[in-house]
Order: sequence, then structure tokens, then C-alpha cells
Amino acid sequence: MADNIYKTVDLGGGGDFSSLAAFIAWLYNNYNPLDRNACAICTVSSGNTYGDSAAWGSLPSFSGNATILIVTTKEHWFNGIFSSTRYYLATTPTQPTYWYQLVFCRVQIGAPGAPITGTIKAGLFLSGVVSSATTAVQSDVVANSMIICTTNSQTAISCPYSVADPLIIRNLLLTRPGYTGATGIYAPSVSSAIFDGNHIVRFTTPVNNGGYGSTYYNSTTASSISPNTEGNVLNATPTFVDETNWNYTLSINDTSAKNLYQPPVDTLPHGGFPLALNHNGITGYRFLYSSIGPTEPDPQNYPSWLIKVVNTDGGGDFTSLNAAIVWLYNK
Amino acid sequence: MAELLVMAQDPPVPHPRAFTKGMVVDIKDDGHKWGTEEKPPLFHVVKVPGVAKEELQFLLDSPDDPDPNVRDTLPPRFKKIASGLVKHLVTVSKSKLMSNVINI
Repeated sequence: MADNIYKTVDLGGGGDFSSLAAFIAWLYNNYNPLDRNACAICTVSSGNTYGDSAAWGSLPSFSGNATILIVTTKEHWFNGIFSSTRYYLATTPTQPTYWYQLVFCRVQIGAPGAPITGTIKAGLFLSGVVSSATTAVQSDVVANSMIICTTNSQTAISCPYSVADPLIIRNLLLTRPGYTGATGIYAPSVSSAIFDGNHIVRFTTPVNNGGYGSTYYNSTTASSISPNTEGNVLNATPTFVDETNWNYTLSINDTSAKNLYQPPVDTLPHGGFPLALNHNGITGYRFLYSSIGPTEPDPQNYPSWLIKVVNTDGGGDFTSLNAAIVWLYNK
Repeated sequence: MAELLVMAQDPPVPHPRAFTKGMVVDIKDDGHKWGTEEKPPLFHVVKVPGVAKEELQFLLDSPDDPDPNVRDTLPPRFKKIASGLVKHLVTVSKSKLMSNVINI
């Protein structure tokens, strides 16, 4: 595969593009079919406009396993707290068929007071969605993401079954207080689907997959068990730090998910839980490093790179790699 | 105050949802520092001084349909600008712009 494409989308100007619409138009005109991976890194370097609101045109067709990845910078990526003052996608991504080749990572789609009204058809990792669409997300791969439904009778995720093994894991699927959702996760009876470790809140039917991979019926008590054997917690209302203000960090006082699926007792094959918890000592429970939330996405203070020059002609820091490695070993 | 990012060419591979020449891709405030790739031959920037970008938002409106099969056949914009007006970094008045807006 040819070299990947990396471009910046800066709503404040000064990047390669000022909107994802321009980036997609550029891709369509220069790489169609797309024969390599393409990545757009999104940010707002200046100004106070955070919503990327220009509707897209067509995406290119895909050649082989190429993927378009949309990701945000550390200053703007989704960290479990929805905000309208952070880069967010304010228009529904238009893509009818590429449910898994268009992927969003750490992107907020929709914002408080500005829910997306169309169905998102893309893979989601570590992303947050605010949606009023009847079907918020149609995708076969959604992981470590939060989908917040803002009205009644919505379905959070619908799997089109376009891949052999749909994977919906470690997500928070929630209908806002005062409303009742229809279905948390829907799939057309796909026995190979994996729905593990999701927290599904305020939906009449948390999982509807023809009985596969979802419900566990306790014949002794004649009741459903929550969480079920797949690790999904069904309609156990969590306590968040400040749900009213869209802060979906799980509260220290939460009893819905606290202490569930923490290593080493987490035996679920795809991890335990989107909100599995590390107490941060201040605001509540934070998320595991591999999960969504402030802990891992938080900008961390890494040591600066140690850079040395090896010049075999002399004049550098070292004259051979061997000398450099010996120096490093002894440092 | 508005500046428009306008398609300067038709796509090499036609598609109903692809941007074509004259369609407005994005609108920003006057003085926006356009991206390094937002330039000819693919894009032109048209300046419309003295006009709030909100007044021109209709140029970004996109037809929609609840049926995805229908939606995939719709263009990404309702309107476009006549090709004779679109030159890179050209400054036009609102009235001249409006008289060159074409329904798609």
C-alpha cells in the first residue's frame, strides 16, 4: 500500500484544510479510488467556532482495505465530557456504504443543544455522539464510545451486518433523563456478533439480536440478570459527575458499575466495561487507560525525546551506533 | 463578512454526491487563513466583503432524504455559483454574487 495521507483540518485556519468537507472533496478529486489510508487530524487553533458544519460531498470509493480516519488533537478530542467549545462535527457524515472504512477516533459528533439529526454510518472508537436521529449510529464496529440519545424511541446502534463479526464493546449507550429509548443495540439475529461490556441506560429493549449474545435468563428466579453474561449492564442507571451539564464521568457514588470487570477479575474476552473505573481522587471514577475518558486521552507530560546524532564521518554526538547504544545503556 | 471556498473544477470521477465546479464547500469570516491545500486548481476563494457569513449559509444547504438510496443520488448542495464569477481571490459584491447563484 502507498504511503498514508495525513492532513490537518483546522477550523481556525492555517491547516491544510478549514473543514472536513474540503478535505473530503480534495480526497475525492485526487485519490479516487482511495488506494491508501487517509487521516484527517482536526483542531481549532484560533477563534471561537468549534462546529465543523459544512456538509460533505461524496467520499471516494475504496481500493482494498484503505480506511479514512478522522481524529482530533489532544486539545480538542472527546474525553467523556461533551462540550460545545471543543472541535465537534456538526453535520452528519454522509456515507451510505462504508460502515467500517470511515472511522472516527476521539471525535465528538453533535454537541449539547445541537444533536445530530441524521444517522452516522461509520466506525467509532473513543468517540462521543449526541443524536436525535431515530437510529443514531449504524455500524458494525463501535468501541469505547458514548452515544447519547436526546429524545424518545431512538435506537443507539444498529448493526447492518456488513462484516462477519460485528463488534460493539465497552460503550455507554444512554437516553437523556426524561426520555425513553427504543433499542440500545439492534442486529438482525447475528450469531457471531459480539456485544460485550456495554452499559445501556434507559432503553425499552437494551439489546435486540434475536436472542444472540445479549440476554441471560435466570430460570431460578425467572428474571433477567443484570449485568448479563456478556458483561452488558442493562438499564441500571449510573450516577455521573454532572449529567445535567453533559459530564459523563462516572461519579464516585455510582453503584451501577463500580468494581465491575476490573482486572484481574475481568474475564470477558473483549474487556469489561466502558466505565470500568479508577478513582481519580477528585471528581469521581475515571476510566481505564484503554477506555474512554480523561485518564488516557488526557494530555500527559511525557519526557522530551532524547536525540543524538550518529555521524560515521565524525562531528556528531557519536561516530557509531555501537557507541550510542553503549552510552544509552550506561546513562 | 464572508469568504467562500468554491470548487474550481469538476471531479474526474462523476458521482451524484460529488462537488462540482461552482459549488460552495465552506464559508468563513473575512480574513480567514485558508488551508494550504485550499487553493487552485481544486478550489477558489471568493471574497464577499461586508456580508455576514450567516447570510450566505444557504449556499451550504444540502438536500436530504430519509431514504439512503435516494439520498445517495442527491447533490451535496442546492445551489452553485456561475463559473464566470469564480476566480481565485476575486472580490465581489453581494448583489453580484446573488445574481450569479444558480439552482442545481
